[in-house]
Amino acid sequence: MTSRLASLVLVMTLLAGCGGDDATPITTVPGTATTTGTASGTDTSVPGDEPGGEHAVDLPALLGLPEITLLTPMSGGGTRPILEWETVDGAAGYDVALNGPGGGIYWAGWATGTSIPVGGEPLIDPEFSGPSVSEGMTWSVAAYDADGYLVAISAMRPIAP
Amino acid sequence: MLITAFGLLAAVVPSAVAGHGTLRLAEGEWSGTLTFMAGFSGDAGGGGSVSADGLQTGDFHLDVTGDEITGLYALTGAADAVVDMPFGGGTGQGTFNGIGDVLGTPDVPVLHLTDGEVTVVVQVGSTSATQVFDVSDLVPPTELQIQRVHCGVASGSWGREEFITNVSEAGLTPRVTQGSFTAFATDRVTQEQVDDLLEAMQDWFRAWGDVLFGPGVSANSDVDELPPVDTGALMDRMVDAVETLNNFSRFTECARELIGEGQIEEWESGIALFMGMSIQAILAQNNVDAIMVDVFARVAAATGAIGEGSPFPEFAATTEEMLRQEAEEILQASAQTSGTDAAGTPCTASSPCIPSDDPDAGLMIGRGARMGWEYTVGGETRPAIEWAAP
Repeated sequence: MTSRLASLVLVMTLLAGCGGDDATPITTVPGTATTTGTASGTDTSVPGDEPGGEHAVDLPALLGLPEITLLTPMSGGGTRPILEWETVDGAAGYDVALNGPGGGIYWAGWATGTSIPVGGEPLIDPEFSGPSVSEGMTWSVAAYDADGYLVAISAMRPIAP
Repeated sequence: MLITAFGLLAAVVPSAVAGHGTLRLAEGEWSGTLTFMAGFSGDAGGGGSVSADGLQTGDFHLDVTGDEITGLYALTGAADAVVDMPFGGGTGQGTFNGIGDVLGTPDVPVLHLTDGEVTVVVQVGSTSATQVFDVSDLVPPTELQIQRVHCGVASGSWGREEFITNVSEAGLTPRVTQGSFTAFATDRVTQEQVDDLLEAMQDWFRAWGDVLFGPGVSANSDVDELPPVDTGALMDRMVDAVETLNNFSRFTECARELIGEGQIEEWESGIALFMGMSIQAILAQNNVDAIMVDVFARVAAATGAIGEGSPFPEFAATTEEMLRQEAEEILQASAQTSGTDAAGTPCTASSPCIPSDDPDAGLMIGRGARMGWEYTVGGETRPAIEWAAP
């Protein structure tokens, strides 16, 4: 089973290296935002943080991990902005998570480089369906080593079109 | 087979060809057909009249490299002529054979005749005469006017204006003049390729279903009724699914057009559903470690098996809850119920501590925080991030 799990990680890693950009991620299925039930929707704000601020959830400090600096502005990038962050030494790949207004996961992508467009690929036709950013969302990046453990993580940062 | 089909559909059509309204042949090889149909009538002098109708057909092959075209074409044609004179009449049959170069630019290919011959057989009464003309130097270069280029197929007109001008200058009246061409990029996406992919995708889903439900058993969304699964085979399918899903995003606009509206979204939904079923089946019959839970959560979110964008919200919520519970169990196993934490706070059964140096716990807290999960440890429920050591 371990080798298969490694394959699963590897195929995401290898595919993330294909294509035109330095990161070609896995894309998720577009759909209508819905509430995901008991597993999701936790209010992840931390006392003392300003709502919607730069560090609504300061994951690095709380997890004792180095912080990944997120580079994408909090707004102005449209509904499918390119999410960018600074490189992390020792990272084998980056898991990018876009959370919905309720706090649950909305979209995820995997990149070996330091950028990824929301939805995974720069879409050929804007009419194509696909994940997109809306008001009240947050995003974060986690860097993994080759063994699958976290080596750094970003704050959960608000993002809007 | 599947990957081959994806490769053909995802990579072969140059972007310039894919665009709507790009009146230019994209780089690469093109083959096509030429058709020219025309006639004229008029005064033959001496009170007589003449009329003729003819049809030419041919084909061409060309290469586009940068702003240059090199290629060859061949045309054959036949025309019938009738001459009516006060003292009698006659008929004629002409045939044309020509070959030449296709030059010019990708915007305006030009036919240059290099070797052409017209054979005319004239019948007047019981007398016939045959004449052969070398017209190699008489036919001027003729432009192909591109009117449409879409998904590797170009079409347009040619020769019409030149014919009308020549016939009119000769004092004759042109009629039914139509010159057309159609060109096909040899590497365009074809319906046959799409049909192959549709069939391959059916087989692919069937094979995944066979691993999940048993051979020949139809899909059933209730995981409790699924038979024991071959975990290794299922994970192989999951790996393949991630790759397959990634290929969807590489389809060209033309490929998407041929595949059909909504078909790719159906496949994506199918993958999301089967991925969720696969994860549920594996979690139901295996002890999984922290890395596996984390990878499953990542893959599930990336394929729409869980998350707010899932096409099956309720099923996705069930899958996500199973993953959360697995993560919670791992966190519970790591909980410290005696001694103190790094900050000196006592750790008890009712208020356990999570060691900050436990990478499995860190992985599950990080995952949970980013998924919006809560964990219950020692009877206490907190948002995942609040289980991190202060």
